[in-house]
Amino acid sequence: MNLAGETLKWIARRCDVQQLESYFAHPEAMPLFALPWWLEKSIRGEVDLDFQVDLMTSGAHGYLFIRMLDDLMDAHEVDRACIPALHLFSLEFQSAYYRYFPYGDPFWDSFGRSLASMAEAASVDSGLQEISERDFIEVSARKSAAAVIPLAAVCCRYGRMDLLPRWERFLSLFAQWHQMRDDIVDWSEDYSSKQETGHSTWIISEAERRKPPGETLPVWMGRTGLAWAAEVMDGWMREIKGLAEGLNTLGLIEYLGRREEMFSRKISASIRLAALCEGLLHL
Amino acid sequence: MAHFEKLYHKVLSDKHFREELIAHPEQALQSVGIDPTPEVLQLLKNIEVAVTALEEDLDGSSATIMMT
Repeated sequence: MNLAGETLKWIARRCDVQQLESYFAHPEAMPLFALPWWLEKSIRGEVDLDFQVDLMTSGAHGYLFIRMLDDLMDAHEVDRACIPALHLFSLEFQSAYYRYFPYGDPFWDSFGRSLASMAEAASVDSGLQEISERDFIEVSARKSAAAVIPLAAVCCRYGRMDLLPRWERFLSLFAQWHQMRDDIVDWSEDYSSKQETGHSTWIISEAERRKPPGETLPVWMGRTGLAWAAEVMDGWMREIKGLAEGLNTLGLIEYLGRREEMFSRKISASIRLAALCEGLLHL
Repeated sequence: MAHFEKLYHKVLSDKHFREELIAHPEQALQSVGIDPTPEVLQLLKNIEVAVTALEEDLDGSSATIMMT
């Protein structure tokens, strides 16, 4: 089957297709599968494995849809032969929920709202050249809004829609932290990409606004930018952990602790490296 | 100065370049237009040990998310 083969080639550019689960369970990936698991456990003390597998199936296909769409929007190479896979990604993303939620169920209102929010954010984001903090918070971080959908499914299934707003608030803030983390780690790549495409990230835009005349952006990042970003992330993580305390799930608290520690070690190492390299600028 | 700023940028952001700088410093320096003088090589020596120690932290963890 031509489409399957071509699509696997595209997926294989991102991860080992023999161990796809490792890609989704990477400790620094968005915890798409873990969040609805933790939520169901917080409600019932246990999980329905078949239900969770359906959520994961949906989530994986939804992610692949978004990934391919992002590649196309960013003009990354996507073989024309695999683009029709978008139909099947979309079908598998939605159909996993048919078994649980008939037509007219309130779940589909949440589904539609989250999808529309994400689509709008992605559309606006595609046109942004310089990004302010407000742009970042209102748009860039909302590109993960579809991750609310499996959470809405859990809440709807167990009659706990009262929980959804606080989980949505948590996810919104965590998605912001997660996106910023990616932008910090990839700052150099994004800086190079900006020269070609004009599309920026908040940290790159902020670097251009804050750096003194005569100082290059990479030097500002090493001397000042990374430390500034670390402080922003610290503040957000304090708020995120505060929200997580109210969600009644130890797994999530432990996860956040690990994410915070991993990021802290990485950025502290980058800041120390920059300090060590300062001497290179005075040769 | 521009060459050293380029070197600074690459050391900060490019893991493969850092590895090359440690393994083959003269070649790596020349690839960014820098003459590998004794002064430059000595400065890199001072950085090398610390960079190696930092590399694990710069790379991050390989564990997976635990769903408990």
